[in-house]
Formats: sequence, C-alpha cells, structure tokens
Amino acid sequence: MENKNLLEVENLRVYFPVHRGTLIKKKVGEVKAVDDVSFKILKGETLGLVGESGSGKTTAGQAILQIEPPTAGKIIFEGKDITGLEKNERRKLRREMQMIFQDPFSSLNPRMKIGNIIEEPLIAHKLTNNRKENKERVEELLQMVGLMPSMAERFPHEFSGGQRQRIGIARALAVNPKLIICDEPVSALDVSIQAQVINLIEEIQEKLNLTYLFIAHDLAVVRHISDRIAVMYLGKLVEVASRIDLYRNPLHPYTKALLSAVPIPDPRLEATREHIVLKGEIPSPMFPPSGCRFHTRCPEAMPECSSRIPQLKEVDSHHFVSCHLFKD
Amino acid sequence: MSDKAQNASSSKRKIRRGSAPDFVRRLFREKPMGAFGGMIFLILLITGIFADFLAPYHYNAGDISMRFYPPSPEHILGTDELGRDIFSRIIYGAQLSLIVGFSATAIATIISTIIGITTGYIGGKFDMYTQRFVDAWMCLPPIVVLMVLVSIVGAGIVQLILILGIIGSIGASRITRSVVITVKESVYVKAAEAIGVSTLRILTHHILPNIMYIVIVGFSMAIAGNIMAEATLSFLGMGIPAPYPSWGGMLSGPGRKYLFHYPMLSVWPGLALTIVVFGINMFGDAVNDLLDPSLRGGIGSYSGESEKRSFVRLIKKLFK
Repeated sequence: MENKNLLEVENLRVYFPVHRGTLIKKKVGEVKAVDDVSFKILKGETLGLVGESGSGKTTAGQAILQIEPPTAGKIIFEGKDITGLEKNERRKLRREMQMIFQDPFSSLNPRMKIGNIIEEPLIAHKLTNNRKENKERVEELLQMVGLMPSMAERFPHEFSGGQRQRIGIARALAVNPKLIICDEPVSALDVSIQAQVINLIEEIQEKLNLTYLFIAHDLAVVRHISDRIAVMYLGKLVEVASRIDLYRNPLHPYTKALLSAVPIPDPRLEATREHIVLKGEIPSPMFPPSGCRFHTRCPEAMPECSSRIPQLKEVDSHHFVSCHLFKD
Repeated sequence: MSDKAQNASSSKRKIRRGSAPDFVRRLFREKPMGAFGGMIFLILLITGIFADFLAPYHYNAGDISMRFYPPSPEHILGTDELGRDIFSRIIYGAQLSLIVGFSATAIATIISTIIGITTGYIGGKFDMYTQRFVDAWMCLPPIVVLMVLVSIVGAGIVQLILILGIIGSIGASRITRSVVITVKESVYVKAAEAIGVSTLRILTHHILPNIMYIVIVGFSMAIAGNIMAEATLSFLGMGIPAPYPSWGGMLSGPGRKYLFHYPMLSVWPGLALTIVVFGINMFGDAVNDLLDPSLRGGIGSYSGESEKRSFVRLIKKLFK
C-alpha cells in the first residue's frame, strides 16, 4: 500500500526571510509562503492545487522540485526522503520530476533553437549517446506534443503561446519523468488554446502513465483535469477531497466562496444563485492572522477561530478539512 | 507609411532579423551618424592592418637635411624635426593605436565578462566581496593608477596592453554583472536549473548569449577609451618608447617643442586622434541603441529621420 504513494509531502514549510540593511543584515521577519502543508499524490493520479494568488501554490510546487529549498518538512518521493540532498543527487532527481512553467513566453531561452531547448535535458542527463539519437528523440517529442519535427530549427519568437507551451511540455517529457509539476500551464493562454493544451496534457498522462501536480487558480480547468483537489489559503491547506466530493459538497467556507465565484453557463440559474463574495484582500503572509488564517474574511467565523489554529482532519472518507466548524 | 511597412516585410524575407547584414542595414537607415563613425572605424582598421603597404616611407626613415618641410607631393603632410614623413608616421600611429586599442579592449572584455558572469550568477558573499573590491578600485583615478603601474612594469606595447586591459576590465565588469543579474532571474534560467543543467552550461548556453549585446556594446565603447589612454600615456612619456610613432608621443615631443614655429607637427596627430575617437564613440553609441532590446522598435528608439530633425532644430536654434 505504501508504494502507491508516489509523493508524500509532510509538514512542508517554506519561509522567506526578510532582511533590512545592506552591510549588517538584520532579519526583520519572514514571509510564510508555505506553512505546515501535508499531502500525498498517488501514482498515476492528478492532484489539483488551487488557491488565489499569493496562497503559496507555486512555492509549494517549487519546493517539491527543490528549486526553492524548503525551510522544514519532508518530501518523500518513491519512499525516499529527498529534502536536503547533495547537489548531484538533486540533479539525478530531476530525471524523475519535471516542471511545466506558467509563462510560455519567458520560459524558453530566446537565443536557442527549439531543437536545442528540447534536447537540453537529454544532454544534461546524458540520456543519449550521440547527436543523431538526440535529433531522433527531439523529433519524437515534437510529434508527441503535436508539433512538426521541422520546427526544431526555429526560434521561440516564431511561435504562438500555445505552441510555446507545447514546446515546454516536450522539454519536460524529454527525460521520461514520473511526476510533472504543472505550474499554471494554461493560465497565460487564450481560452481557445487552453482546451487544446489541457487535452494534450491529459493525453500524454494516459500514454506515458504520468502523475501530475496541477497548480492552477482556474477552478473549471482544475475540475476538468484533477482526480483530487487540494485548496490552499495563505500558505495552508484548507480542504483536500476528491474532485466529485469537493464540487458537490464543499465544506470549508473558503472553498464554498471559491466555487460560488465560478460562473454557471446558464443565465437563469446564474441569476438566482447565491454568491458568496469575500471581503477584502488576502492578508500579508508576513503577518498572517492568528488562529485560522481565514477568520478575517470568513462569513462563518466564531470567537474560537481567531485563537486556535485548526488542523486538517478527515470529516468524510478521504475528505479532509481544516475548520473549527467540523468536529471529529 | 504602408509603403515603408511593405518594404520592411519584403526585405525581412531575405535578411533574417538580428543577422549581421540586417544590423548593417539598420545602422545606415536608422543611425546615419553611427554609420559615419563606423566608416571612420573601418578606415582606421584598413589603415592599421595595411600600414606597411600604405605608408610611403618607413616611420623612422628620415633625412635630417629635409626637416620641417611643408606639405609637398613627396611628403603629403610635410616632414618633422628629423626629416621623417609625417604622413607615414600618422599611418604607423594608426596601426599602433589599433593594436593597443583592440588588444587591451579584448583582454578587458574577456576578463570583465568572466568576472561579471561569475559574480552576478553566484551572488551572495562572493559577489559582495568582489564588488566592494571593484568599488574601491573605481575610487582611484585611472590615470594615476596607469602611471604608477607603467612606472613599475616599464614602458612597452605588451606591458601597456596588459595594464590597460586589466584596469579596464574591473570597471566594465560592473555593467556585465548588472545585466547577468536580470537574466539570471528569468524563467528560462530557472527552467534550466529545474531540468538539471549544470552550472557551467547554464552560464555558457543561457546567460552568455543573452548578455552578448552588452558585451559587444562595451567592447565598441571601450576601444576609443583605450586609444585615448594610450595616447595620454605616450604624451606623458610613459607609453610607447620614442622612435615608434604614437599619436600621443608625436603631440608631446616635437609637437610641443616646436608648437609656435611648426604647429602642423602637432595638428596632424591631434586631428587623427580626434577623428578616430569621435568616430568610434559615434559608432559605439549607435551599436548600443541598435542592440539594446529595451530600445528596439518601441518608445525610446528614435529613427534616423527624427534624429536628423532634432539635429536640424538644434542648428536652427544656435543660429537664431
């Protein structure tokens, strides 16, 4: 059973120290981007990670890949703790985990040809023996993501956003990874292109038996692609549930508010439906509210909420919520 | 307007954007002054490289009985105090300026790029200490440092090139570093790190190609500075030893001595130096404007036409 978890994240914390002064640096505070987050990803599934901007979803993804070193906590990949690995070990790990970036316009080096961009992971990990094999693999990858092999000779500025994102996907696939962290892969694209790229991501998952951590803020996209969904707010997980449970029966007031913001494609229903509109902005992660971090904006806040931090607990089978409204 | 756009698109098919021919075309179209400077630079290059064929006389061949001759068909610019042909000496001086200017700048560019890339990319304490050293270095007046170093090492072409190169590299590394820091933060560098690309490969394949424009601009701007520095040192008698014709040396020795009787002795090398430095500076400015991606096309980039117009406006203002 233990082996079914491809990735386990335990009590992950990523804090960014805030310094003041140039010569004598004084630590004046910390930005708690990710604070005590735990979740699991099963082999072959897609875990959607949602939350508004500033909730720490991207940082969590980067911490798993160890682009941002975690402050505390464990990340267990295939039963092995991968936090605090040596530089060389970490590089080997990158063969197993890859990332698709949010902005396809800045994630490709403008001075490199597409072929060179895609073959870079092959060279970095010495996966092929010679140039000819590189070329064949690049062509194979280009075809896999729906581009023409002849495009390998072109530069990134000759491509549209959707095509560039396909190139980004091809680059991530080059090393045959087991886990791909998709960091808002479609939020920079046109809606018409989004569907194509999402379908491609799904298709590839089926074909190569991949596991995804899909970070997004678009709930419709997440609903389409995820098996399970985790909701983040200000560095903490507030709810984790299967897709069906979460959309049918959201428990946390924050999740309810998020879901009520998704428009329904039926004008009559949309007009009569109740909308929960959250007041104010997301608080600063440098000075997070005491107790439950959501209590400042929560429509159902109780006195208890501002003093005690709620823990993530299972209220239904495989449905976890961290809220004082629910007792074990 | 539409004609212009059509023109651009039709020529775009033939010449790839960013290629060398495209650069030359843009230089002439958008920066006429830069093109003029570039031509001066080209003339200097040709003169320097083919000095042995172009000069009618050897630089040290003189007939003492023919001293201070005015310009004549045999000696286009006349002769100096030892009866040597000034024209030939100017040509050999160009060769010397070119050798010193080019080699010193090349050394400076290579060292400054290495310092800039490593400090900018590695950052942290290493960057902090290296840059404080650069700060301290830049507090010293360059001419004093130059004179001290030359008097320690001794005069000579090779020594001069090395000294100018090393001194120039330290200040120039600051500019390279600042660009490296912005490139380092870009997503494609983060992506390369996420892929597992080695640091060396990131530096050579991702950082270097994207800072190349600033390296080229720095190179073209520094050449003029190094030619001036060589002339200055030779003028002060600390540069290239006497019989070899340096423009700075020609200005100071006989030029100063006979300034009132034979002013042409100092006018010719002075004129050559002024034109060359002016030309290279104009060329360097144009290269900067054309290669700087933040000035490309949009606001801030001005076409040759508006430059001409503002020049005309300035002239009109002056003569009102």
